[in-house]
Amino acid sequence: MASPIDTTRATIEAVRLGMFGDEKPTKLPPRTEIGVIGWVRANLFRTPFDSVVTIIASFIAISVIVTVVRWTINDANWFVITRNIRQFMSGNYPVDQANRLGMVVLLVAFAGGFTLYAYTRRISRMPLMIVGVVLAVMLITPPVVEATVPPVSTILAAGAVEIQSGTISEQPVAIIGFIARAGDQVVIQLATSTDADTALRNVAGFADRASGAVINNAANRLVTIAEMAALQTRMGSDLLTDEQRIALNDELTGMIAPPSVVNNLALNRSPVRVRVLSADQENVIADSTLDTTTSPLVITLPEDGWYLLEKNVSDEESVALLQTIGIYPLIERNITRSLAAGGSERISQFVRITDDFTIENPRPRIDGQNIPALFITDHQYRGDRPFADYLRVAGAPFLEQLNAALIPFVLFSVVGYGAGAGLVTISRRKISELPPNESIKKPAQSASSWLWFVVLIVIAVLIYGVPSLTPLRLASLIGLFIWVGWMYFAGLHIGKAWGNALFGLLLVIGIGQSIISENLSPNAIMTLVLTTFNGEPGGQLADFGGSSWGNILAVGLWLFIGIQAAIRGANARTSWNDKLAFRGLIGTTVLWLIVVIGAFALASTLADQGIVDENNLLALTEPDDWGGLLLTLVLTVFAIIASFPIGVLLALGRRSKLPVVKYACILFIEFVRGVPLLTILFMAQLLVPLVNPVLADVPGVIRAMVGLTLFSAAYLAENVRGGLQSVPPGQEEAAKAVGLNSMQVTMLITLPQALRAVIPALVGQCIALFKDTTLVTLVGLRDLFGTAQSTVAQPEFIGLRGEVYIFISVIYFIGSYAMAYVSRRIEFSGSGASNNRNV
Amino acid sequence: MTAVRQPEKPTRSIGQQFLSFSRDARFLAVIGQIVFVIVVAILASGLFAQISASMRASNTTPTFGFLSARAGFGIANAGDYTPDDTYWEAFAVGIRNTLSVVSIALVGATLLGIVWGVLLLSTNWLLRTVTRTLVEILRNVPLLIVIVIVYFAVLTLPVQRDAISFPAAAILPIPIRYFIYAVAALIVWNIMRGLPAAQHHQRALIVSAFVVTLVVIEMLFVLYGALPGAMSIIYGGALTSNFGQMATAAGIIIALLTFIGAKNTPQAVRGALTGVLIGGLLFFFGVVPNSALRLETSPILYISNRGLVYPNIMPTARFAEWAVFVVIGIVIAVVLYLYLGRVQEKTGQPQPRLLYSVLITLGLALIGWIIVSAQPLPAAIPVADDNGIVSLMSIDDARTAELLTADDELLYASDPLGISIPARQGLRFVGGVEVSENYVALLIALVIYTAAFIAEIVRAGILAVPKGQIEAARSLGLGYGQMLRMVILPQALRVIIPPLGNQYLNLAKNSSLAIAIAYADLYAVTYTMINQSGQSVTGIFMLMVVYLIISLSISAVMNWVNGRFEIKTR
Repeated sequence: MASPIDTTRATIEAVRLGMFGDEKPTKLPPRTEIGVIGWVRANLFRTPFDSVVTIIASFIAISVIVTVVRWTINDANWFVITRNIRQFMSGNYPVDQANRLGMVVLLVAFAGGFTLYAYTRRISRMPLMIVGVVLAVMLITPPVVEATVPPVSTILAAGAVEIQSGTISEQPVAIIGFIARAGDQVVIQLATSTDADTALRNVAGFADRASGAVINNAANRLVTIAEMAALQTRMGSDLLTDEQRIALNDELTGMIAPPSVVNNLALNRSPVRVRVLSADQENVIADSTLDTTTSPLVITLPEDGWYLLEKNVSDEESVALLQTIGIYPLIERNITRSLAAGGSERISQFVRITDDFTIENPRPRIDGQNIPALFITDHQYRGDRPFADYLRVAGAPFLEQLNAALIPFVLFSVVGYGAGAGLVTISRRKISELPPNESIKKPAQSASSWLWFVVLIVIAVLIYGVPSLTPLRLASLIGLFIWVGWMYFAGLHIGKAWGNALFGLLLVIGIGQSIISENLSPNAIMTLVLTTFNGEPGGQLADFGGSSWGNILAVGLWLFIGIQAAIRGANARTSWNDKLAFRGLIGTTVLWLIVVIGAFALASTLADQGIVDENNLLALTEPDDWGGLLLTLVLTVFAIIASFPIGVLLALGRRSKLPVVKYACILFIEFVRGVPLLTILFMAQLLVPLVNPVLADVPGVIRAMVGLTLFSAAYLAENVRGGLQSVPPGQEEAAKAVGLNSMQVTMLITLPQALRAVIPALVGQCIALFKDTTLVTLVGLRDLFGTAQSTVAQPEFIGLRGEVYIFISVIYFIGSYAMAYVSRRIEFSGSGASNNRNV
Repeated sequence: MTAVRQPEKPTRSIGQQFLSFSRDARFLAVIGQIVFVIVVAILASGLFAQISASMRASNTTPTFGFLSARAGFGIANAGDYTPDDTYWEAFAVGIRNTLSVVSIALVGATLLGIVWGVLLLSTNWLLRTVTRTLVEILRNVPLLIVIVIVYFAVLTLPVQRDAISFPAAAILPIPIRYFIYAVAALIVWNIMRGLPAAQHHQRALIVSAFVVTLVVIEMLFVLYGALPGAMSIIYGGALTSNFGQMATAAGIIIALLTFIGAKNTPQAVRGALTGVLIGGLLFFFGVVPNSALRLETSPILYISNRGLVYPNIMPTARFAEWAVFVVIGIVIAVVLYLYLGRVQEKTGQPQPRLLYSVLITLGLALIGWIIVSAQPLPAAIPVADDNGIVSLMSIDDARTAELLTADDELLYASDPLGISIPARQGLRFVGGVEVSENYVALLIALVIYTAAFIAEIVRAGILAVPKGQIEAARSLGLGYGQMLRMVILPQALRVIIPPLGNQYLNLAKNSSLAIAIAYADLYAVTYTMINQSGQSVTGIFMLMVVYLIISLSISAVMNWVNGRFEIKTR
């Protein structure tokens, strides 16, 4: 017997072949109604008006895209980004502490991977492949470019002639300094194809001001000639008023075609003496006379450091253009470095812009004067940049920087993803054992919220720092986080004899660990108590790393958290089966051992190698040194987290039946919502010192945080109020009927539903806050936008606004678009207001 | 039935009584609130005492007295304000500037937002995608960056000497044949309307033949250079070679054939061939006239990196007389509108009431204009010459002698409204209204940024109208305009207005970012005032009060509007 599907197929076939006599054979739809043409017709050329619109819109779209791409490749000077990337990312965060920020990124990657596993059903193959291909291209491009694309050349002018270009005149520099690495090969030759102005105009590469002027002159001459020709043509047109004709005529007579630049400057017509000297002018590394017939001068430089290039033209009337390979522009960077002996020093570094080669040797001097060096300010890329040069100068270095950060990021995400999978595998229960509607990934989901909680605390500690942290203290501190989980699993076994003993042992471990991590000792505690009772309340103990009563309090807090975890474990005994409970105990024990020993070993090794300071692993940083993207993110995350409880309280207060509380909340919310954020930030900066002179020392960053938090809380309160209003009153009544008190009704019934309903609105608010942090620039902080503003104001980077603003716009765009995307996913997955509609 | 035994009321000690009293929720609420007020009061008074002590120490006790002192700082483009004016006047300039930006940006953002919102729902994929990209970029980049980018884009415009003028001063040729095309198009349109819908292949043939004929004629004109520049005006000079123009024309033909030829490819191709034939014949036999109207244009608008100069419409001395006519016209129109509305309700016959009202207003305005302009001007007017000697002379003589001031021109104009068109005078402009470059930049940035959000709101609002409503309206026989006016918009507006009000509030508050590009808005002026006088508390207080007033008035207006559109339930 044929299956129903087979029967259907046969019928269709029969109909198609016209087998049924009384039915017409079915005709396939016309080709223009299906496929690509059909799509184009339906979506682009539906009506004649549509066709016109499509043609105009595609014209505009194509021209915009072409303009942007051409600008990106040919004109943009991306070194302003690549050379300031540290500023853009972390501002003035101490350079020797920068690896801490790296750790922050890796932690986020790990937690992100973990969460990704916990909350996605399955990652489909297509996005994975796309990510893989993109990563592969990013990884392959830099080495391929380095290997295949010839290095960009630098054009330097020589001669004793003043070159006029417009209103300014430039004189070639006779001796100029550059930096090079040991073994670098430098090629110097007379620039080829300088026999005609048309060829001269097309010379492209880094060029000094004088050669830039020469090239400009050639270009100007050609442009003027072309303009005159165009004017002549326009004069011939009959579409001119008499006035215009007169004006054009005046313009034409005022124009003079300049003489040929090549002839005028006797370009490359006489030999050039080129010498390469060491920085102290004692060693002559090369000395040669070049003219158009000699072969290029090739030198291999002996050591890292400064070199001088001397170039003289024998004929005083002649100018020469030298084309060099291996000599590149540089920038000077002033950095602050902390000294081992304490304090800090400021050093000038010189960085070659093509490959980040950095030296700290001082700039050479002649007769007490700094010699001119190949600074990027005066040696920018000129001319139409070919795509290959773009890759070599901007693309590959940027990708290299990106890759250095991206590879560990991806690795840690994968590790996090794997950890999530591992957790689920260890704690796997049979599907039949699962409560209804519970995902098999439930353990990973609850673990991921705890993970984020811990990660956020660790990130805060990493960014801000801990005073005088030793490897031992670090290991105990990190171990404490695991210890809390360990206590939970030990709690599961309370009641058994060995379980009780284990609990006691763990308590001892925890006390010991927290005392070590807080840098206390019995001696310190005694001294603290004694000094306090001797009339120095709350005294600081410098001998014990600045311990105070706060540290004793912290020990108590840790113990409290640990015991709470154990109690929770003991209460949850029934919901765990014995095998899993035992597995969890073993797992946390092993994890604790690994983490404590690993952290100690790693920190000691790093300290031994001098990478970190053994007695100060995480030095405190000044909040006012935070900047760039770091500050933007710190402000955003802090304001979101801190404003959440305040906002919820305000929302509850606004719905309170107590008139005083209600109107106080309304007053606050409406006041904050009625004035611009800028005024609130301004108030925070200006009025805080007036409240108490002590507060004048509070860093501006902290003040901005307070301002942003208050602002965000008021808006969040309104969102949460919307959610509260959407909860049907029956819920509250039912909860009361069951016998819950009003606190329980709010915490267990109303608030969870309300918050769930407004998740999309809350994400929207996060996006707004992320964008609004730019305003702190206007009160003097240097977040990402502030860094951009101060970068474009530096003389080195003048005229590069477009590059900088587009770069930071892209960062902001990616950040907020990603958040919007996640919000949309949450909405579609049934959370948020859409969920309520179906109830 | 058993008697319910009343429990004996236990006697309580005073302590127990207090205990039960202290468990009374109402009592606790009152006590709690009193404690709350006391705590707040203590905190506030402590804060106040601390602040005033600090301010006394730094000799900046808050006072409003400083407002009448000399401000001593200049504000660019602030009309007749000078540094010698008082702080109060400077503050007023700030308020004026903020209100000016906010009010114009409100209108601009609403209009642009509606257009974008409709485009987001366009059936044309390209248009939809382009708009979507634009809106997403604007929505996801901070406003401050948008403002700064727009500002520097404005600064890259040409300097004032080479200001872009609109329309460019030139002679615009309008070939006579374009008029013939228009007439021919009308005829073809009429023929098409006469054809029954079933004959779509005939339609395809006619349309194809007609369009291809025109394209071929234009191509031949370009090819033979009969009228140079005619095509280059259409293409804006973007395509310079003949080859490029040919390619474009071919592209248009292909696009049209794709559209027309969906079901009727053979007919469309036949039509195209016919078109080529007809076009060629018409051209080579010289039937198409090769002459053009020459339209001379002169600029009325200049854009440069120092801002925008545009014509100013100013009421003259006779404006009041004309205004009487206009007001009467409006009153009659309103009465007529209401009356016809009642007639329509009674009889059920549709009345063209809007058309009548507009016609009556326009008519009376026109009549008023003619009557007012016809009144004689004084034969001789007193005019002061360069030395200040006043003499009587006729208006024309005074004008030729260039002795009429701008005020005199308004005083002795015959028309009720005078238009002052800007003109170059050396490096500057005379006449018209000049707005500064940072004003223009701020306005553009605020408009496009807010419009992107409004576009999303409009889109969501239109999508929120159930599809059944539209189908029902269609089945009732409403036309597209009627459907939009009477079915879609009222329901969409109900969804649109509340979030729209929020955007208006955001716009008003966002205008404070003007300080980033040094536009003297309320915030920037107050900031300078505080820096100059040290009166920080007073300054911030005034600033916040003004912003609160602006915000509250916007939300009051939007609440009122919202009330008008809400569903009335009984």
